[in-house]
Amino acid sequence: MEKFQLEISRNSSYPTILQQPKEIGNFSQKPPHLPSEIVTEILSRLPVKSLLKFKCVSKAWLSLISCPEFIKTHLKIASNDPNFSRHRIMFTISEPRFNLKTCSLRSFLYEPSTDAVKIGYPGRNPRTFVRVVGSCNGLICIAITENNFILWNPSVRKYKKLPNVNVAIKPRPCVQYGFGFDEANEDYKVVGIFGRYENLGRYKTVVKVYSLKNNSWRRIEDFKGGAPRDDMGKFANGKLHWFASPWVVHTSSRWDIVSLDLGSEIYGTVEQPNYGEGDFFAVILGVLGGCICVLCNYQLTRADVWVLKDYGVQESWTKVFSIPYIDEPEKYVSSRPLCILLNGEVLWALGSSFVVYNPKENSFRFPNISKLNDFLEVNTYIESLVLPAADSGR
Amino acid sequence: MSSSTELTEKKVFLLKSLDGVIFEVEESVAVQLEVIRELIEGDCARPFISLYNVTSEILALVIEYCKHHAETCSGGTSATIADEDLKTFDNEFMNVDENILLELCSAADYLDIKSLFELTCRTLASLIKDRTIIEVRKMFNVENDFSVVEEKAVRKEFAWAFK
Repeated sequence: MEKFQLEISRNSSYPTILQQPKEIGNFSQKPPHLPSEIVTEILSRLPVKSLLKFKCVSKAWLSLISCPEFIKTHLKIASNDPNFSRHRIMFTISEPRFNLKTCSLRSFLYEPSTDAVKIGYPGRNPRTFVRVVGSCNGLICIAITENNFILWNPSVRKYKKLPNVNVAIKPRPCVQYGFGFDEANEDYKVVGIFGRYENLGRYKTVVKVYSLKNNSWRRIEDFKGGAPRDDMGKFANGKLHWFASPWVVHTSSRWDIVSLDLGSEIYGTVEQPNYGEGDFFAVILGVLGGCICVLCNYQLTRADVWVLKDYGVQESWTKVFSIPYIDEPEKYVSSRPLCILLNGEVLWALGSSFVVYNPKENSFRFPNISKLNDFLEVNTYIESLVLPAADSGR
Repeated sequence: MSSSTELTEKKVFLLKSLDGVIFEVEESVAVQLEVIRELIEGDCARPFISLYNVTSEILALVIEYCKHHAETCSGGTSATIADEDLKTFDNEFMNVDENILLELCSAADYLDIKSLFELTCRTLASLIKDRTIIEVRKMFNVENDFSVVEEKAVRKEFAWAFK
């Protein structure tokens, strides 16, 4: 179809009589034939489950739905949906047994009540620890025991078990992890920081990076910036971020944000916002709307949420919320903002419960979730077609 | 230009459909069609424009949509009320026969009306998401070119998606 097949009258004077219809078409009887670009646009707005089903429609549909370009477009539309229709929440549960549960983020935010449902995950063993390292483009990296990782897309039910990572550190090291996407190389990477304290409080590390493309672990430069505090690195702007304490851990109350660029594998630091006056404690790192954020607790009064709107520009740290305490202060130590809603509200995980805070009205609401007791951690992920395989596109 | 001339001389365009029906629309409505906006900006818009590929039935609907959106956006109402109003209008507007929806989607693409294209694509997607393979083939005029064995194999990989 020619897009600009317009005929422009050379005569600029208006016809005086509007013509009557020559004949009313009967096109409503039979479906019109749509060009393939339009079919692609419609399909890229479908949920993953429907698309997997529609692979059976024809050979052309099968190859369309499987092709990396389509997977990318579908992912982009799903990520940008302001109502979070294609986002889900994943809860890591440790009591009474290890388990993962999920629910739709949209219904959690907007429906009167939502059920958390158990999700079978690869390598599941109720007695063995499971942690979610991170999620990116619909892929989730889970750790089952300390050196056993799995890349998994729960929406298509496909997974890949990573080769074991061997690190010769005795005694047993502390481990911090991270998972993200290296855009330059179109590669998914898992990072493991294995460390232990040596004399004088020095923290020695061995850092290994797994590349999905190469399906192997490789050692990179040791961690720069002391001892990372966060278990799981926070992925934003192509980099993983950890709060870390420089060198001598017990004498320092200073924390830096240390980044690791997944493309260049170079470490850096991110300047922090000016937290202002006050007795603040428990500064927590997170990601909000694709940007790095920090939550800063002020003893017994409030928590401020700062977002780094323009990565690399210290002046762009913006205080987006200041949330007054409504619960026991201990819960705030592990609280974190999860997402910002269209109307400006923010969803906030607080201990094992959730609140939605409306900064304009300074009001709170409490979304209702059933079949969920205490959970260890919470993550959000997107429903996508991205496969945990080297050639899946992103 | 003084405001009095603006009031008396509203620029209008005449749009001619495939089946020869001519619609008179104001500039504020016409510019919602990106193809026409570009013509106006390039200063090559004549007041009489023939639109191939769009029948009068569909063009009438497209103009109704653009008119409502133009009026709501220029009216003095607050952004939230205008948003709500457009949402209600869009929902009702999408309550049509699905073949008309397909035509509207195709017209929105041809005339380059981004909001209508997005709306029709989203509506069609939610309409088909729970349909069977056979229903979808019929709706999109797609012939099944799989052999029985091939189709079975594809279906087997994601059998759970059919439940």
